[in-house]
Amino acid sequence: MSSNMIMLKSSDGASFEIEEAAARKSKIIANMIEVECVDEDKAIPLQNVTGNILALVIEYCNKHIVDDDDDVATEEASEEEEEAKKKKVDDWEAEFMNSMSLETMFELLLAANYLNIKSLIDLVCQTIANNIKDKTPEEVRKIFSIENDFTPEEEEEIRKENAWAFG
Amino acid sequence: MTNISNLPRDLTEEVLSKLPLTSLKRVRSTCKNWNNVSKDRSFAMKHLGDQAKLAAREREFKVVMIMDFKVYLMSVNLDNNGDVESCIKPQAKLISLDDEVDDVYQVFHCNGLLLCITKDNTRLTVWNPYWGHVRLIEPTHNFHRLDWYYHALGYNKSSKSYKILRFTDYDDDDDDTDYFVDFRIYDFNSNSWRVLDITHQDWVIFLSNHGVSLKGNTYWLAKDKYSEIRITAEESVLVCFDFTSETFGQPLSLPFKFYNSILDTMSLSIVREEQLVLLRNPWNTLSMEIWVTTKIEPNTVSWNSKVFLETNIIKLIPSPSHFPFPFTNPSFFIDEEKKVAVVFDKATLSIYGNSTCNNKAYIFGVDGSLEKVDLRGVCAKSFCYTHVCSYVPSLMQLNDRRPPIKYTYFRKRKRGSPTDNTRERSKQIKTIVSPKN
Repeated sequence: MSSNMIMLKSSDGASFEIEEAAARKSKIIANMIEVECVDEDKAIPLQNVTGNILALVIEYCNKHIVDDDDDVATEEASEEEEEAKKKKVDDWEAEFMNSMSLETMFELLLAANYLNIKSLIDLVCQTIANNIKDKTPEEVRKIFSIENDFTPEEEEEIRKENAWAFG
Repeated sequence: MTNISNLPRDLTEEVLSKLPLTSLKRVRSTCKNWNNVSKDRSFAMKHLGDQAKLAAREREFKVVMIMDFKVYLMSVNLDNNGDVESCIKPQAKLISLDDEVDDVYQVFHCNGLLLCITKDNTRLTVWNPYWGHVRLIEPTHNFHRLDWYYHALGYNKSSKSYKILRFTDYDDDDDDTDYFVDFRIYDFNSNSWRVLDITHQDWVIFLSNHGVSLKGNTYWLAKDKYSEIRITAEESVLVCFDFTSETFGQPLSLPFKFYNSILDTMSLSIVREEQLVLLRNPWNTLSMEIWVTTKIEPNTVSWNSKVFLETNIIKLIPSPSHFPFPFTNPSFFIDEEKKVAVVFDKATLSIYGNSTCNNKAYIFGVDGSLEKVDLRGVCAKSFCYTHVCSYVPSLMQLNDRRPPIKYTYFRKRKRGSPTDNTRERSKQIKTIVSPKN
């Protein structure tokens, strides 16, 4: 595995050094490296990502690059080892997501979308969905500051449209 | 400030597609944007795909189950080693508007649609749990409370139009004059019932036997009407109603030649939405065998020559008197990969004459193991048997949004000759809506 380091620069001017293999988690950066528009001495400017969010993205990528290395090393791992490893990653991801506010979560989602990191998009969306799934519409509106834009008539119409439901 | 409301549309879809089916109604009630996204067909396709991927990763699948006249969506995960109780868990139950529905006697699954039949046989409702839409089917006639009708939901393969078959085929063995047949089909396109020209069959479907739906057609277990030994042993067959040709296929053979006592129990199920599965539990030997087809069509069947599971219950349980064997009305499914069969029935326990019963699942392993799962606590309604059917969500539209009628009453019908009855019945189709009693 290559240990080339590259530099990323956030919209607010913070520079981060990251292993190329980790940076390749982002399809956008991987493409830039492929077409050789990365100058070794120059940082890649990421205009849509602030420093504090980029730090989180890099933390995620670094963690998952280690996991990918493990995958190569333990190709013949037993099912139990696979399970244990999956649990370790799940626990890390849960802890990682738990440490941030909702607002940070949405900014991280936009950054993951801009950088095109599919697994991070999935992780953030699943975490947001877990915050929604067992809650009433009122609770969800309150948590996410969503305005109830239905008229009472429209509310009644939706109730009728969903006449039978598993609830 | 970044908020869920100002995410771009594709990210809103990403978030909502991570939500289970049971959250959909609440999602639609949250705000206009989410309601619009959730009703969009391309989102719905993505949602079903994402949920299927998630289920495959978690090795989990869903079944629909009736317990005590309520309809439950259950999640099944047979991977939970060491934690048997969480293998089969109720996830949600059927709610109609704001009320719990507690009078469903039968449920029938076909391509993501559920046909629910009430215990008084009067209300037929077809429901797509994905959209929340229901379609009420006008009953064929006024019912007598003791009428026994068979129901099936299927579709025409070429036009993909959905239909409901409803029939009774009453034949008293001792009296050739007491014979009554009535076969009718409801077409979703024409919104009406019509009488099918099926008058006489050489077989009769086992009483209380549920049909199973496979690729748009329905299969039942039946017995030869003209077997020489009539009361104690009958030759059993499989029959299929083909919803495309609207006819019954040839009686199909079972994987074994045997004389089946009327006290034995047999039940059908399907696996992978592809093959039929047959459970047989003879009353006198307390053994149980399960067979799987390798090919099944309305007029053709071939069975895997090797039994899927064969077990001797006496060997498994030291005191079988505490178990409901032979099963009284078993409902079951198998998992080929996990090599298990899950059988649902009630365990009736008599203590000083007070009979109580529990909804139980019995997990039989091909390796001879047996585990029990208690689905709910003690229940009083011993007459409602637990019934399970597979459920795979689909985006079929029902195009009928009338709200469900709560209670419906009918005039009693007169019994008479088959022709009289048919004529009588078509005149009597009349529904009176009455307030909740």
